[in-house]
Amino acid sequence: MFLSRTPKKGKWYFDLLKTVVCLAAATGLSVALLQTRDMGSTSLLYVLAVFAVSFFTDRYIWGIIASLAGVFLVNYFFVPPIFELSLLKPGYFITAVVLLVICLLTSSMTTRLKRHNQLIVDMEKEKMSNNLLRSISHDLRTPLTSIIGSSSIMMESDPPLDRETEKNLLKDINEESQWLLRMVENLLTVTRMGEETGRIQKFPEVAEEVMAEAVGRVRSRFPDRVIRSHVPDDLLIVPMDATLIEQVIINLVENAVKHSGEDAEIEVSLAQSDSWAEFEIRDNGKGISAEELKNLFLPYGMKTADPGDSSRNHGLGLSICKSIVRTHEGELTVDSVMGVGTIFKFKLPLDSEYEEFSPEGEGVDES
Amino acid sequence: MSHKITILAIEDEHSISNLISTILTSNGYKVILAHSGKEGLSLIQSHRPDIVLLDLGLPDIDGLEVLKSLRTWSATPVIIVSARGKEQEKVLALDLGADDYLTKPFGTSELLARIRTALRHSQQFISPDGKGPGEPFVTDGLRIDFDRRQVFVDDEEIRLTQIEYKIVTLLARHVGRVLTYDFIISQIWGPNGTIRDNQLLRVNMANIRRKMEKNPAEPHYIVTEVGVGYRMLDRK
Repeated sequence: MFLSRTPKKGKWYFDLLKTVVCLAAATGLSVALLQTRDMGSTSLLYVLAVFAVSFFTDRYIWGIIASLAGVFLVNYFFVPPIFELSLLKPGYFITAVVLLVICLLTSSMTTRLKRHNQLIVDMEKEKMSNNLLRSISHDLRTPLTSIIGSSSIMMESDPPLDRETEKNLLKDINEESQWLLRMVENLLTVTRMGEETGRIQKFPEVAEEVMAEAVGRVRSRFPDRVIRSHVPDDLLIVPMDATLIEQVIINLVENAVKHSGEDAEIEVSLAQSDSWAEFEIRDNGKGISAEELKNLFLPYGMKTADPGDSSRNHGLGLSICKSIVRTHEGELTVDSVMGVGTIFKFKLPLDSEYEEFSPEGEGVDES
Repeated sequence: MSHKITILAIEDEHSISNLISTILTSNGYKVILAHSGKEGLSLIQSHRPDIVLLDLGLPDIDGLEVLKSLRTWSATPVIIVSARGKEQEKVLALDLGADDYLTKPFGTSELLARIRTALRHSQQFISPDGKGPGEPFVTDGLRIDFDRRQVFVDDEEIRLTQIEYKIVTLLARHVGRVLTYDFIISQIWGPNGTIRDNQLLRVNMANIRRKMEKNPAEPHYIVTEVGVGYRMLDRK
């Protein structure tokens, strides 16, 4: 989700091609130099060829093949008697051996260099993953502390607590649990996207239905908040992964609920604009500072702000939204003015490749 | 001695089966718990419950197999328990004969609502032409007069096309229950549903929404269960 891909090993025929090209180039240039009878240059050209082969191919073996081939080519084409293999001439023999050793060392060096680079990429990946896990674990511990604490108090209180206090503790337990559930759903969403391939399966969905279900779920969690929704008169069918886009809408609307202030009103709307389906989540609440806007979509591990309650939802939810929308080949933007309000907008392309619209509405099942 | 409605819950997670048991018992139902598919099947045979709650994530046999097996000899209403994101599984279960589904984690109100709906439909006397005992259908502002083929929302008549009317009445006859897209298509357009029929259904439903709902973005009567089908809410 956050990192560049590991370079794949090239196919063997590309490597063969590279080897042949390098050796042919060296041979060609050497033939051109025959006029000058400059044997030294010929050898160096072949060393260069072997170096190039080791550098540009993916396996150790091609460098070795090039080394051996180079030795024979030099001998056959350029050392008198020409067009004959005469490896046993003493002077030449040493040249040949030295040539071979240089080639082998070069080959070995470039291979090690590549492995080293790969190691660095892998380590970076590990670090990112670890940061993510650490932040998630931290975020999981906070609500759990509250749940364990509240329930312990209730179990251990002797004499039992008064009804009012009990109700408050239970309310806390419920709210923290709901938060945990949302986090779990977001995490599952990440697995659904497939880190390696970063691809999703799109199906044509009725956008207003996806929106209605998403907004409905947020409304039932926050029944006291004003959340209005609008859809266009015309039916808008958009290729998408419904579960993922639902998660985006849920995250954005809940983000508005949590951060716009208790009295802010939220509006969710859908519209078509040329070949895009535009979703808008706007609120007339506190707004987001320019400072926060800069880091808004960054994933965990990159925020230096202290993890107080307000940053809890920002961390994972919004970066997931960005990932999902990007994977859909769409765009997610945010505009905010302090004290006036915030608008989150994301658009999805209407003309996209998707699976045939099947009666059962297939999807990828994650366990 | 009054007959308590019996519900059999097949659920291997003890915390969830405790929850189900507590909710249902305190609401006047009798609860039998089974912790595996095999145990469930045998208890259904011996106790003949009125409703079966079946968790699809069972350890011994696949929940769908339990359902298939059950349906070869029983029409007892079955409500499956599934998870979010597993829409394919829900549709499969519904097509195999399950009556409805619950998504984990569920709350008290959802569980009770599903049970009520399942009971309502298993006790109904359906006349051969499927119209019900001739009484109009009423739910929170929506009134359907089957005899006159008229639909009213807040006493204002809604003009629906032939197909739209069929869809609305089909959902009304199964009020509270989810109906898969395939089921609706087969009931309205016949058993060999094609892709075109699915698109027709979506378009028709969008039109129905625009005619019947105050705000099509916030449907009050017919909700979409994305990936599964449609449900007319039982708002009595």
